[in-house]
Amino acid sequence: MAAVTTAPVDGGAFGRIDAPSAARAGAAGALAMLPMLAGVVPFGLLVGASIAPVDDPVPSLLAALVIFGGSAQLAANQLLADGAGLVVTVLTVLVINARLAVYSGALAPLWRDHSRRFRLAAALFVVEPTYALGRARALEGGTEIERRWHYVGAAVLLAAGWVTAIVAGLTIGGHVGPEVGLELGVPLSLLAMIVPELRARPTCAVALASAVTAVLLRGLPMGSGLLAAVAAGVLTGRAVGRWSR
Amino acid sequence: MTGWWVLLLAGLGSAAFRLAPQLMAARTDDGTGGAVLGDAGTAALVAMTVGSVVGLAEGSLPLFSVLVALAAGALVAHRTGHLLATVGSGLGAFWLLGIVV
Repeated sequence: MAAVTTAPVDGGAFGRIDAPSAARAGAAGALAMLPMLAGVVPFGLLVGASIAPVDDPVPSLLAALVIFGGSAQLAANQLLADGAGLVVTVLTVLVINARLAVYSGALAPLWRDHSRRFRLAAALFVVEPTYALGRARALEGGTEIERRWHYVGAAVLLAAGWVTAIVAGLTIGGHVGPEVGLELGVPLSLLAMIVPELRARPTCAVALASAVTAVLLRGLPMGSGLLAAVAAGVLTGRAVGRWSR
Repeated sequence: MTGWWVLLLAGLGSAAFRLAPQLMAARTDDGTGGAVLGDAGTAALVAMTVGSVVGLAEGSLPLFSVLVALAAGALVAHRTGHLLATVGSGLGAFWLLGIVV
């Protein structure tokens, strides 16, 4: 029997597609994202429920994909429900989402062999789960097609799960009993990404300084303690790295 | 109407944060610049993790159970580095404590 061969096809922003390996990599990416959904879905339900008091839910629903960040969207929904002004609401979202520039910047050197169009499309889905999985997969190595489609599979599943959870939260309410503890899924997933990286002394110092600063400065307005924690982590990592040499 | 303006401005800002580093990627080297960005990514991930844990402990979940769940998850992550096992062990520890205590 003659072997079935599939020629690569043009996939636009996703470059030349070798269908079987792309499908395998995409499925692997989606599978890797699946445990993270355990935490993302309850968070999405909560965000969806927070839309309910707002008069016009359409912009808040669209924000699920446009802002694509739970903390920022939850803050925006609560501020709008409380009657906060446009400037305060937008500034809050921007301060909370400023960390996305850090994630995208950290992925940029690892995505250098991808096409520019793919990098721009993929960057629009950068958020904690996709950053953590994308970075881990890029550091693992493999072909460009495998890494690219692994990211696509993970990002598509995350986006689908996130939007579905928000719509469900808006329509049926967002209460998941605290005794279930599903909200722990997000920090546990991130923990699984962070802990294996804590081998070198400078990386441990980065994590420790960032964690301590995040706890101490969590009361700062508009979530700006997060940016301070990033700065503290980077400065400490540089100092320890220099001292170690 | 405010909701639509928030969507537009916050959406544009969020997209800019995501796209700008990719547009400037050619200027980022793999040496010091790459290492600083890697550290910044780790720091942001840790800060978000800690922030969400503190938020949960201050809100609906009991602090002790949260800490035990995270300790179980961290142990499994350290030993295996496996995502599903980490989430499963953490949630398992949380549920077990809910039954026992």
